Amino acid sequence: MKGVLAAIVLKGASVFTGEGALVENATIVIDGNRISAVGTEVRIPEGARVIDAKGAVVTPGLVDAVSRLGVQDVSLEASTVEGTSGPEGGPVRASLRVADTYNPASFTIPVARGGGITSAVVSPRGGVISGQSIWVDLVAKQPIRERALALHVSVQGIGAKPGARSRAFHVLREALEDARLYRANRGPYITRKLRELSISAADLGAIERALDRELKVAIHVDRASDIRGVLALVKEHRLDAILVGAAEGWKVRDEIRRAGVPVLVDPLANLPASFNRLQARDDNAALLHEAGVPVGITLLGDAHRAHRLRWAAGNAVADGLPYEAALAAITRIPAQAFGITDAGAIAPGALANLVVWNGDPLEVTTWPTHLFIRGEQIDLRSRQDLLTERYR
Amino acid sequence: MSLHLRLPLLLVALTACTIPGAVPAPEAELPARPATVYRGATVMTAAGPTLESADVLVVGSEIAGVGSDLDVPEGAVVVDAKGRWITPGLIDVHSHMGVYSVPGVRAHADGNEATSPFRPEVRAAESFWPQDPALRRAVAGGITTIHVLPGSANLVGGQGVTMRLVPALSASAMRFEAAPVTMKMACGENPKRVYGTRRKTAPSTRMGEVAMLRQRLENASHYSPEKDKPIDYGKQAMRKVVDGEILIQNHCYRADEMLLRLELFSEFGITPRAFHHAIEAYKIRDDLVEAGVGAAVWVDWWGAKMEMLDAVPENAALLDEAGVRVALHSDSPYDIQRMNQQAAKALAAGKRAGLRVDRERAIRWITANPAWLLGIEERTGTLEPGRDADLVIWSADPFSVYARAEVVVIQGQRVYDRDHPELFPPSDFDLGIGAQP
Repeated sequence: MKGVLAAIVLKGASVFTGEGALVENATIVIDGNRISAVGTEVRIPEGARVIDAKGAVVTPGLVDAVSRLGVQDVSLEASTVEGTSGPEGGPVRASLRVADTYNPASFTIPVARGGGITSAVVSPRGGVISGQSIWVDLVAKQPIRERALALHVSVQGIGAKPGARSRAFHVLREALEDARLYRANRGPYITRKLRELSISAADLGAIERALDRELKVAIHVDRASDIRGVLALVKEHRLDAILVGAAEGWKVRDEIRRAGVPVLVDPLANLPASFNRLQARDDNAALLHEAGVPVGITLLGDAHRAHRLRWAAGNAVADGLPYEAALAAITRIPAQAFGITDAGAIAPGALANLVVWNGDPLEVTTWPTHLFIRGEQIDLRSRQDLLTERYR
Repeated sequence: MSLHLRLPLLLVALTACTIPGAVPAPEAELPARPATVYRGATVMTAAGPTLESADVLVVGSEIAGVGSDLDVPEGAVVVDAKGRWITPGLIDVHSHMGVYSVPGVRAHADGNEATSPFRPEVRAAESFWPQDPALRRAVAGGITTIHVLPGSANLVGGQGVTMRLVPALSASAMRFEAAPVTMKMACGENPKRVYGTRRKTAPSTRMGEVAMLRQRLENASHYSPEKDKPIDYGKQAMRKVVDGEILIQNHCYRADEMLLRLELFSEFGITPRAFHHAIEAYKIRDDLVEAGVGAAVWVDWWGAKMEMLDAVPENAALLDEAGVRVALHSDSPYDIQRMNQQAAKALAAGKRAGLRVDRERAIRWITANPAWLLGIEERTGTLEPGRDADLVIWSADPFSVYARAEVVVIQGQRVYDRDHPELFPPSDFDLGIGAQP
């Protein structure tokens, strides 16, 4: 792309680069699909398209971690919901790939972009081992950057049956142990000299990749005692883990820090909505951050609410999370947590996913005026805007 | 009674109390009532322009004055509110707190009497659990009045109840005494899913829903509580609906279905008070103005069902511009904690689209307008003399995400104070179980 298209320059903005304080009166140069320069002393390339961003705030594109964008159109119409295999899928679907059914043309995506979202970890749902997520940029062409990003696991035991969580742990442990056995005895497995294993070859293969730390493992867990159980499994199997939900994470924050795993929390989920989170509280994100745990913010996957991400981050600030930590929690931290190193930050060499806001991005009274994904300016209009246009 | 009549009496009363043995003047027989003045705040009255450095005077359970140079009774408690913002107490017209309490276990599913599509005789107040831990979080968000409804499984789901968010051991003790009874009705996907799809009984289609309701309304219009004995409480309630004594709160999403409802109701000479959810209300805003029907809407919920597909965040702003009495509602124990932010979002959406909206209109979406939807607009919803002293002191501009309610006052009583959590104690359920003191 370099040299073909004119560079784009955002001039005079307050810039959140991904960490630290906002840089005032900064200039960003976008060259092709990447950022080539950022700072207060940046030379503007000749022939560049210069956008005056004085008074605006520029952030990296927001990351909808644990997203359902592109696999869920109308939540209650089962035929429009993908990235899951229903109850008949059984508890282990490690080989299910969201990549197979991700639809970059879903009408949910422009609404999310209107909330400043440029990238998402589109995640599977259901069962105990739900399948493999993808990293996407919210563009039409070649949206998927990482086709097998993380194995998603839930020990929440949703459902009103006794032993739902016990079974989840049991199934997970058995699957991990069988995959270890499979990894060490591939030959005997193929020649059927190994004892019968609990899951299919395809599932074993996927879990093997997690054991080899080629796949991250994102584990949905809320209850403090379950978090302890999960951390023990993570340690035993040396998993490259991320905790998702962690509503009671604040209670075991030092253990989480010692385990070195990042968490993705929903700061708005402050109610004791189930027995898994009786001790949910407003300042979970703040307490975890204070304890030294990398904290990302997620709304836990509803395609229709992805645009609310910054709203959740703003409330986390009101409840004690430092401002810059909240901005990082919806940009850099989730990218890093999933091992994506060139997104979630505004730095030379990073992918040019960024948002120009007409004020504080964490306030609900502002909105994006420009949005770039891979250096390309995206039309911010959604179907909702078309409806308003028609009926106004 | 106006402020000007009352204040001099109070001064006399207070004076009389301070002189032992003094013979009270005849007009001083009114008991002395505590007065509090909140000084120097930015006040959004929901009844006019925002006032800078203004005072709010509360005498007894009512607002006695708003502005500057108020006639403050001697002995009034003075609260410094400089740098703070004051709004009326927020009102949520669509809550299921207490009938779908948290934690959301099976035992707490008390919101849908889904045993027949018509259950006009059931009352949300008689399912309500005053120990729902969510209630206290709603107060902490500045909510003073809630309207608790049965769910939307049924065509006629039962009677709603308007309540004040005061700590109490029973629904009766929370009831907003002056509020009319309401009737929850529903159209669209929910009743036909619950009955037709899941149970293979009627209604299974939208036309089935309308036909069944038409018959019930016809039956009710012939019911006589005097002649027909024993009283059939369901029919009696439906008769009151037909007579306009009970306000209809109708869950309905699509424009065409709302218009169908208006046609059906007009066959019986009745008008619903409001459509709830009203995702497509913006498409028929002139019809709603003409019919005098209010709308309770979300800002940015959409897409969960086909009938939620055409949601736009400008719904409230478009309705307001056209003259519809529009309220924002939560339908959620989470969003109810941040209704001020919902109003800010809806305002921003209107501004982004270039609509005629401003802060003074937007504050009404969570105060004065929901009060009207519930028929309590003479008592609460604005900061005007004579109204109940339901108000919130905010740490900052309530349309900022960083603002928090510091003090919540209901009928002159401080029910919540961030610095005094004991005022609204954690629910019994939270005790020894929940995280927050």
